[in-house]
Amino acid sequence: MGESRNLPHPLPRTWSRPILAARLEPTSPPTTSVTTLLDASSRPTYAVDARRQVVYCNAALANWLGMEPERIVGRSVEYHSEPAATGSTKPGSAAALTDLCPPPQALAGTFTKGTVGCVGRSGRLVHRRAEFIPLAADQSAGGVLVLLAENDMSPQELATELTDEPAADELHRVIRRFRRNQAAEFAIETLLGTSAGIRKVRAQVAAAAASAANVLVCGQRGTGREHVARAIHYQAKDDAGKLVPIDCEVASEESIQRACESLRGPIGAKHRHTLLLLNLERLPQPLQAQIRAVPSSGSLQARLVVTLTVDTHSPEREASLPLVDQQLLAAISTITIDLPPLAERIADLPLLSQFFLEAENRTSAKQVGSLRADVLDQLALYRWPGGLDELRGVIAAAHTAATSHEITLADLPTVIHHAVMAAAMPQRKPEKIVLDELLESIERKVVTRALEQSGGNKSAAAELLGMTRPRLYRRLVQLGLVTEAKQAAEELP
Amino acid sequence: MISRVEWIVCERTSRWASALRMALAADETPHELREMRHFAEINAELAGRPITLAAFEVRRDNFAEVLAWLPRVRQQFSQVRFIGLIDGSLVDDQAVVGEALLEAGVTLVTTSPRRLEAICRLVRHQTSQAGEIAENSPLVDQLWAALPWQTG
Repeated sequence: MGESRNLPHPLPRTWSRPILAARLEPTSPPTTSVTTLLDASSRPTYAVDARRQVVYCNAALANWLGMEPERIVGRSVEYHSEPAATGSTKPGSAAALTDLCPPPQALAGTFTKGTVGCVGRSGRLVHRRAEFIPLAADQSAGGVLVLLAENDMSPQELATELTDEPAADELHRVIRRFRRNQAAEFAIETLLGTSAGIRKVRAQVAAAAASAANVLVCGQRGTGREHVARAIHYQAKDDAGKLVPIDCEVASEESIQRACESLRGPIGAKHRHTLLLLNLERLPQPLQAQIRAVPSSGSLQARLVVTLTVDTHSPEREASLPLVDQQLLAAISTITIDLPPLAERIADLPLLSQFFLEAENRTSAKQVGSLRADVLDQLALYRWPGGLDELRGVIAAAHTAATSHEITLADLPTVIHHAVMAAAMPQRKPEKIVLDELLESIERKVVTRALEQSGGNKSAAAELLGMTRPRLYRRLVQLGLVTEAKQAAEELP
Repeated sequence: MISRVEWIVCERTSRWASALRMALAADETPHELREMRHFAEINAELAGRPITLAAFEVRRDNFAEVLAWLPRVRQQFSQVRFIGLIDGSLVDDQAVVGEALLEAGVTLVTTSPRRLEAICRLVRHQTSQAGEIAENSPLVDQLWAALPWQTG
């Protein structure tokens, strides 16, 4: 985040530490003069206490953030947080505060310079130079006063600033950029489609993101359960905290314990962490009991977002639920989102296909513009058992096969053609086999491969097959792989 | 029916791969561990083979690249589980790096070639899964898949 050095800091002598510290205790008499000075300053200024809560901000900061001061004071800021610069987070939303946290060295009592970012009134991410002035020598006792520059940094200035940053700050910045990208990647708008089913899902995701309730996301394979679960976390209107996913199929007691430990924090903290359990039905019963205790654990500052694989429109749904502890199910299903399978939202197929096609264009030198109408018709006749994942794979294969600027029927994988043809035909009886012929064909294949492995050397092939050379010869004749005359000729000394 | 499991380790040297081979050497099920040197090779390998497990080394100098690459490759190959092998260059930041990797979608992270128990459990789990999938496939496919000296 920038250079650090010890005091003396650049404040006038009259702004001594005791006076500034007194501002953090509203009952102290000297606050009025300090507040007046800071309120009138054209430099955005704010103060954060030891618990990383904003305890003061002036009008210039409120103006820069595009928020009312009342909405800023009292909010907590985290060093891991990140302001979203996407359409998903409007300027002026609470998430704009999330980059205001002073760096750890300032909280630990060292004067530090660096940068602070926010989503400005234009909706773009902007940065200003910042001075972080500690109000106490250690983290537990005091807070930090932050003075920002009067103007935003240009991209060139920001780039220069970043090249000089210490390694730890570089790592921090990389993680912040990653989280910003994740927020864009999992924006509600990425739940594409205009069908009634997906519109309902979008509304439910928005409602879940706005609340702190536990959420259960149900759906068949390939309906995008994990995407929806992550969207709920990243679109939280309050400061989104950590996201800790657990793959239930390979989870262990130790991994669940570790995940829960990482989410513990002081009671009353405002940030919202998410414990994401993927495919709960695969979690062994004893571990489900361990998870059941999580929501009632006082210091765990997290909510549960859980995905469950079920056939949402089949009586089998009830059959799959016994795999899940019923008490746990009751605890996590405060909000339940049922995702419709792709076959039931065929109206969205053109939009989704185009989206996946353009995703292929982004990673390839080949650029394909669209799918022909007859291709979309063919895709609509397929049942899509693998859901969105399968559609993505089909579009990727068609993109690879395409020889013109648009996807044609010839570019589709044969599995689609065959499945569509099969669906149009009545079901046939199972095909009979002749066991002897099947076994002979397998033996012929194995013997041929053994001969290929041994370069045509029959002694070596016989050894690979665990039989004697004469016996191999007899089998070769029986299988029609050599003639008796040739066998006789080869057996001569 | 024994299924051979193929998986990937991507790292600058063979440090992790050697340790993993040794840790899994006693297993009855044959593992084929393929070594890669760059993420682009992982993408190509995943596109061409039925691989469900990929481990990669995370260093200070490739951390940003990992965080950009991982969400994309997870979307592209949703059946694959990824493992983060955190290098010693990140020793002071293991916790924060591990959290970011888990958030980005890795199933496991480890910080030392001496701490491979969880990875070995995951590899064995994938092996048993591959066996179950094979047993559920059509009989003729199982027979052909079981024939020796497969090419390609």
